Order: sequence, then structure tokens, then C-alpha cells
Amino acid sequence: MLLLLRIAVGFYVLAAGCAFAALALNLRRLVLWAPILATVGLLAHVAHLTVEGTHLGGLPLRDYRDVLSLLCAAAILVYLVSFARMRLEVLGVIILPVVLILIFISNLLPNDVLPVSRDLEKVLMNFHIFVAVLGAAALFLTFAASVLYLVQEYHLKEKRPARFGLKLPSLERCDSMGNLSLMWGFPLLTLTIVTGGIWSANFRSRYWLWEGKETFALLAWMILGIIITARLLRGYRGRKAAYLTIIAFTALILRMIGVVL
Amino acid sequence: MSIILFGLNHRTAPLEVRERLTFPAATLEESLVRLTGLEPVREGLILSTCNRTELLAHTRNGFGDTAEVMRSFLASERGFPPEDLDRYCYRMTDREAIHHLFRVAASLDSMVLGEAQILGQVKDAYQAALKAKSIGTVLDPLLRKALGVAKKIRTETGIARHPVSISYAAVTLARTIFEDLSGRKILLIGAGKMSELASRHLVERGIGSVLVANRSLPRAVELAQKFGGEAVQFDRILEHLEQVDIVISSTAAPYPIIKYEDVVRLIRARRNRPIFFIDIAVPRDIEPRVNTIDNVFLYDLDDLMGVVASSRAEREGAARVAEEIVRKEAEAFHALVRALDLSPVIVGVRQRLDTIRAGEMERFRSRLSGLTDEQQRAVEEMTGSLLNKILHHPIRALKESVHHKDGTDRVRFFREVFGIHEPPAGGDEPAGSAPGTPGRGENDDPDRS
Repeated sequence: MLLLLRIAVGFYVLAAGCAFAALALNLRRLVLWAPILATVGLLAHVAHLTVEGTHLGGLPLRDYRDVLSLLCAAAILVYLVSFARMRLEVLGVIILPVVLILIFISNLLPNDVLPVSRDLEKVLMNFHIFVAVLGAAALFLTFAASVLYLVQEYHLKEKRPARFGLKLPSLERCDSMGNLSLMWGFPLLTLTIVTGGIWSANFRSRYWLWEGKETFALLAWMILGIIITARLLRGYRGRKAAYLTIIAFTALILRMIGVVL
Repeated sequence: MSIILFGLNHRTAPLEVRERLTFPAATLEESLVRLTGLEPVREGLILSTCNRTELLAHTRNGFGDTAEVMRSFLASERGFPPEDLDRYCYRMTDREAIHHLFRVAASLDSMVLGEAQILGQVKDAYQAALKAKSIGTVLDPLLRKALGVAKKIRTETGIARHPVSISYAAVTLARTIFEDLSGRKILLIGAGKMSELASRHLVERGIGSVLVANRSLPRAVELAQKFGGEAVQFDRILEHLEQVDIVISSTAAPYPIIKYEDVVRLIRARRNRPIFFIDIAVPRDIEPRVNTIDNVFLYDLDDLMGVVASSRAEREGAARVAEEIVRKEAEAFHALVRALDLSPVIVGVRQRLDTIRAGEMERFRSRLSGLTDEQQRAVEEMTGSLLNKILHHPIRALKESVHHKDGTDRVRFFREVFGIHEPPAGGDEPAGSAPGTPGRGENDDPDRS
């Protein structure tokens, strides 16, 4: 079983390599290979998850490692769909390495088993994780869009033309891509936090655990909420909004990794 | 069979000459019909732009007299003395012509390397020729190949990506900021050749509307009319800045007319919608500090020239790659055309069989001497007619192989079957190649005693 996961990671590494090579060496022919390799990797990854799930008789969500694994699969899926619709090769350069880093980190995580005993609890927990992963995947795209925006804006402001083999999308495109994914990601994140709270209140007799992990999620949620509100009220956008989005996403990922500071 | 190109371009002829030799689009089809009506011309194409006029023809004859025919055609069509044409025109044939056509379509021969217009112009010329039915089995695939190679070069090399003039640079930058130029508004402050040119390029790219401001209102109105836009009052510029997305400024004012504080207030009023300032005035019209404001982008003349300079290097690098691609594709196409060039094969076969016939007639002359003159002629005619009828089907099959995907293999097999040599590589055979060396067939002739 672990073999499938290893195969998947291997293909992700190849895909990331292609994306970087296409960027750095200006080899346009490599550009299509990144999503193709990533697709093969994703198929292996999904096969791995399916096998694990069949063994467990349910969703393979035993610990944070599994959650992260699921998140990475979702992120790759988001990348592939975005690539298919928008043909933005540059996305691969951002999303693929981050996914690899997450996978690497997940190997270092302790076997912190998520406490799930009763069936109702299990259902709620599964739903919570499902929504969390979806939301994080959407916000992954927002993160990528923000990074691209900053890169493009840097080039425009510093009057240095982008000397890359891959074409960077226009500022407006980055902005709309980020905004759209944020519109999906934020409600999902809200739902995640709410279901998490419900679970905690009902099954842990505490409404909110003020430990590091939960605070991070709340922090991410608040930052994103501020960004959305500011944009609606004052049309707030641009460089500062991009920085905030990146901070929020990092906080969220830290939360999902289960980092306890 | 030859492909001949005859014409002139911006390198060989000045504008005053070129403009006399352009073919108006409205009468292009008639001209094409007249071109193909001329005797040696089987297919023809006319490419006429402000920077070149080129006639392309596929002809049965040799190179020399068809070029003359094309020269007189051009002279008579445009009312230009033919002797004078020689000073400005060039003529190319076969491999050179194919190579030139591919280069032109890929914008490698243009004044601005990598320009986008030429591809559309070649397409229009092709369409006109299709409508006039002036192109067929040779020029049609040639044109389609040229267009395909040009498209490939535009997407695979960076040649079209980097602007090489200030106005192109401005447009490219605008598209890096705004995804879609349609529906955007631009404001022209002041007047000048460069700002007009930049606006024109933006309008060509589909910009929504143009506002013009000038200290002199009549001048503003005049300029606005050129773009189908509106003139606005100079002192109310700041108000209008709220609605426009791109500002091109080139006044003669000795001090900045748009200040930092103005823009800070402006971007808030715009609710942070990005705005692009192009300041090509010297001294500058817009305080440079404005560039530090979030969502505001300011490029002055030096910045634009910097973009052009680095672009030129990129474009030239891309051009080298493009030239290589064009060279390879032209070679390949030329080889294909030659391989499918059937007339030398057909002529070769006939000549070969004729030689055999003449030889046999000679051999049997003594045995036929008993016949009357009439009967001897009849025998000659019969042998000739026999050979023709025998050849009829093979030659028809040969002609059809042009349309086959294994066409070149079939032609090669045909040559083998009849023992006709391939023409030497590197040269273009004149119409009528010599038949091949005696093949095995002759030595195995069962009638030989």
C-alpha cells in the first residue's frame, strides 16, 4: 500500500521538476508534462487512499497525516482543473512544490490519532475534515494567485520584465482567480470551524479549545474575513491584500498540520 | 515546374514607390484572375501590404520567362514602367521562394520583428486567392504550410512576446495589468506623435473609449475625432481620472500636472481599481513618487525604452530560433514538392520508352524493309500508340499518388519500376530530365538474341 503512495510522490516530484525546468530553462515542450505526470501521480494517490479506506472500512482519516494526504490530493486536483480551464502553467511551479513540502512534513508528524469513538461523532468528524480539505484546497488556489500577483506586481513596479519561459498571468487575472477561489474557500472554512466547534462542544464538553491549533484556524478565518469585507467596502486589493492572504493561508496550513507552538 | 516569387519590400523600395505598387483589396480578386489568365502561370497569389508587394506563381515553364511575365503583369496592373521595376524588385524561385514566403509569414522579414499584422495579411491574401480560384495543388499546401509554420513560431518562440517600440511596449504593459482591454477607457493628456501612436495601438487592440484633454480645446476635439472619442476640459482632468484605466500623458508643461497627493486621493476614490500611467513627456508630467502607491503603475519614457531594449535582445534571440525553424520547414517542404514533382518523372518515362521504341524500330528495320512506306508508318504509329496506351494507367496512378499520404514512397517506387534516377540533390531539375541509365529490364530482354 505504501508503494502506491511512494509512486504518487515520485510522480509529483517529476511533475514539479518539469514545471521548474520549463520555467528556468525556457523549455516550452516540458510544460505539458507537469500536469500529465501530476495526473498519473494523483491516480496513484487516489488508489492508495482507496486501498487504505477499504482496509479501514471508511474514509482513511486516522490521524493528521491522513488529513494532510487527503489535502494534498485535493490540492493537486484543484491544480489540474485550473490548468485545464485556464492553461496557466505557472500554477504548477507554486502548487506542486508546496504539496511536496506538505507530504514531506506529514512524514515527520507524530502519530496523533484523532479521537473518534462513536458513529455520530465519526460522521461529524468526517464531514468536518471533508469540508476542511475542500476549503483548504480552494484557498490553496487563492494562495497561488496571491503569489503570482506579487511576482507580477514586483516586475511591473521594479520595471524589470519577467524573463521567464512561462507566461505570468495579468494582474487582473491573478486578482480575479484569487477572489473567486476565496469566495469558495471562505464559506468552506467557516463551515469547517463551525463543525469543529460543534464536535468539540458535543463530544469534548468544551466549546472551544484555546490551544494553538484552533487559534491558528480562527486567525486565518479572521484575516480572510477582513480581506473580503475590506474588498467589498473599500475595494481593498493589491499588494497588501496578497500578503495578508499568504499569511492567512500559512496559518491555516499550520493548523492543518497540527502544529502546536 | 517552378514556384516563382517576384516583388519588392520595404528594404528594396522607398515608400513612394511601394505605395504606387499596392493592390487595393477591392480589386484583388480580379487581378488574381488576370494573373492566372496569363499563359505560363498555372496558380498565382498576390500579397500586398504597406511594406511589400509580392507575386507568387506556380508555373509550368522555366524560371526566366515567367519572371518576365510577372514583371510585365505588375507593371501593367499598377501603371508602372517595367524597366523601373528592375531597380526595386527581386525574383526568387523554388527553394528560395519557399524559404522567403515562410520568413515573411513568420514576421522575420518585417520592419518590426515579430509583428502580428503580417500573419493576418498573408491569410487575407490566401483567402482572396481561394475566392478567385487562383491557387491549386501547389500553392494551396504551400500557403497553408506557411501559415502553420508562422503560427508555430509565434507560439513556440518568444518572437511575438516582446515589444520593440515604445507604443508596443505600452500596449504590452497594459495587457499585463488588465486582462481585457475592451471596455477600458483611456485618457490622452496633451498631444504628440508617440502618444497618438500608442493610443492607436490600444484602440486597435479593442480599447473601449478615448478621452482627450489638451490646453487648447479645439486641438483636443481634433484629436478626439481621430479616435471617435470625447474631448474634455484640461482643468477637469483629475475628475476624469476616476473613470479611466490608462492615462497617456505628453504635455509640454515644465512641471508635473499630476501630483502624489492627487493620486493617493484618486486611488481611494477609485476604490483601489488599478490605474496605469504612461508619462512620455519631458520634463515629466506625473510625479515619479506616484509609482510607489499600491495599485498604481507609472512608466516614464526611460522605463519604456528600458522595456524595449531588453525586449529587443529577447526578440533577437527568439528570431534566431525562429530562423532555424523556418529554414528546416522550408527545406522539408521543398523536398516534398520536388519529390511530388511529377513532370520530370513523366517526361523521363516517356523519353525512356521512346528511346526503346526507336531502338527496336532500328533493330527491326531490315525485317520491315519489305513493307511499303505507308505500312512502315503504320508500324511506327502502332508502336507509339501501344506505348501511350500502356503508359496511360501507370501515369494516372502516379498523378493520384500526389494526394496519397504515402505519396513520396509511391513516386519513388514508380521511379524504381521504370528505372528512372532521382535527380541530383541540391539542384532543381529543368523541365525534362534525362531518363535513367539502362535498368535490368533491358538486359533481361527475352527477345535479345
